[in-house]
Amino acid sequence: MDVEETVKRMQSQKGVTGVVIMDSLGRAIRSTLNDEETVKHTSLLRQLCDKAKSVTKELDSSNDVHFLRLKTSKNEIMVAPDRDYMVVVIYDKSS
Amino acid sequence: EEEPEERIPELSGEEKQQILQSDEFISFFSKASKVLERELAEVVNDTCIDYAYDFSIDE
Repeated sequence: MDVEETVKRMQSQKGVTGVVIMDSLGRAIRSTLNDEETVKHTSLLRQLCDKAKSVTKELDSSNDVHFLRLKTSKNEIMVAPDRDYMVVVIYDKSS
Repeated sequence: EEEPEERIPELSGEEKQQILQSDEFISFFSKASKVLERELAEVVNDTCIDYAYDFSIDE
């Protein structure tokens, strides 16, 4: 399992504009975005993910979030969260 | 009232390398990347496309 190779493979897929790996505190571990965009994405998506997790837990305390897919008018943001880390892929259909 | 944004120091390059090489991270990432790659393959099936949208409105 080569992390760098996998990040590059995802990033090179048509339409993918960014791959960001962070820890559960929203600290970037690896990102293909520039610094400013990385900070924005890590902090906001961590908040969104925390919220999604708390909503899921409140609805059913034995349940948990596996995957988040946010379809917007401009792009799609996909988040694979886990207890300690999460991976984000941004897909832009116009690109 | 807005809560003050808590400042968490960024990870150092060394810390990042340690995480990227840890068994725990690699086991997480191999699972997560498979899911993401499958989701990406499905992205072409956009169920949100509005087929009834009248493009002449834009003109």
